[in-house]
Amino acid sequence: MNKKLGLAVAGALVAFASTANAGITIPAGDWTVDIGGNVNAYYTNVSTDTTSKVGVTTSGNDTNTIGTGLLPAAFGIGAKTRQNDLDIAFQFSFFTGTSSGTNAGAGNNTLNIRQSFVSFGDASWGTIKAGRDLGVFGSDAILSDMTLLGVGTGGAAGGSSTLGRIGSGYIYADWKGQFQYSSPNWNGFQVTAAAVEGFSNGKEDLGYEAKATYDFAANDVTGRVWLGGISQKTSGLNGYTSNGVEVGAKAAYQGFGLVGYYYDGEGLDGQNGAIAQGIFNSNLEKSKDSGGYVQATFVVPGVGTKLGASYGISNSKAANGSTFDIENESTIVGAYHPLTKSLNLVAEYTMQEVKNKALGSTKTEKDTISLGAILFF
Amino acid sequence: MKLLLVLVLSVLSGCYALSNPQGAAQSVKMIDLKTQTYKATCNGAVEDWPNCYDRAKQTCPNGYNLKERNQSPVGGKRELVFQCNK
Repeated sequence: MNKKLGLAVAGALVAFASTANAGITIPAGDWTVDIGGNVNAYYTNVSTDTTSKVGVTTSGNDTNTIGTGLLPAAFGIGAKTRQNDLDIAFQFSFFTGTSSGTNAGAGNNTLNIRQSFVSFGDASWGTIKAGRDLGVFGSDAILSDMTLLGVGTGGAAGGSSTLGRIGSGYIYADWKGQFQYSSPNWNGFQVTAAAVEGFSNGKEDLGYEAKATYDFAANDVTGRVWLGGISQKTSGLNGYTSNGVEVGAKAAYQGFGLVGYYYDGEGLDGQNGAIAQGIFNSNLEKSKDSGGYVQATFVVPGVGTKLGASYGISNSKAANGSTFDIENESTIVGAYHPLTKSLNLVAEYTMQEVKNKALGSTKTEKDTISLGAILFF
Repeated sequence: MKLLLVLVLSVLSGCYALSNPQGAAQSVKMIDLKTQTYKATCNGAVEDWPNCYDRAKQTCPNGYNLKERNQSPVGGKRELVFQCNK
């Protein structure tokens, strides 16, 4: 009995070890269990200057914090199998910070289960996903952002996430309850559409998001182009409909990478809202919103370090044209070094400038230095 | 600006001292011998999809057929599943 158990354990360990290089994948009967995630921690220094409408500049005290970057630390577990000619799968992902969460004694960090969904489908007709996952609109923008695994803007104390380029180049795709359909992949072309839970809209209506993507990998040039859209009705006395379109492209050639992205619409942003810059529909009005970013990266041969620079801007103007007119722009440079295949060291410098032109051009400038490490598995 | 220059130089010199590109390269794993199906990973902040496509090209001298392209934001995870042409 002990010998059988020993052999079973040894077999399981061999199976585990043979796949550990590509993540943690465990065969479990008819199912394949996949465990993945990351742990990251950054030291962040933020210096802030505020200029009033009469031109007086005030320097605030620097803040020095330790915590997660744009992507919180996460532990994900999912599994997939094939039953009755259907590929079926589920995923749960648990996100948290790497600080006390409160900047006070007896802190209490939070847990956010950003992914909890089931999916089913077949390569011949596509995949249906039901549950909470990353939104469709803006998803390629954030997934192409070099600061996704770094810090970017919003390096403030206390939370479990900074903002990267959210609100300074794109609108946050966010994590939404949804029913999503993805078409089969036709030689690189794919369509995805979703009905999603409404955000800040009174819950009378769902939102709708869609995108078309084309991936290419020919003659040493690889990349993706995409076109997306979003629509959501907000009910109430002063009801309105948020609408937006986005277009983006990324390409890479022999260690060089370029990304370009642009969005435009109404009722998309949250620059004047209570939550944060770039949070969908949190201005709570049909503001006129647009923006985008450009990014260039280069991997140093031999050393393996990726160097990157990006510039992005988001504009958000009140529906009446006078209450607020915010311009949020930032320039970011970063170095991302592969210490091992699972461990990256990251250094970034971010210069952010937020102007409200409707209030006599008040201006807030933030310079952020961040240094840290991220391990992914 | 001086601070930025010092920061960049420090980072580059530190990265050079810690450089180990061979040990940092991610893997290609065979997942089905019979159908010659492989999975390449290009996770994290440094690698990206071009690294996965390069590995597919190197693994399949006669070209390949793309089966799956999986991306998860949980840990910057990217996986390319492909089948070598015979």
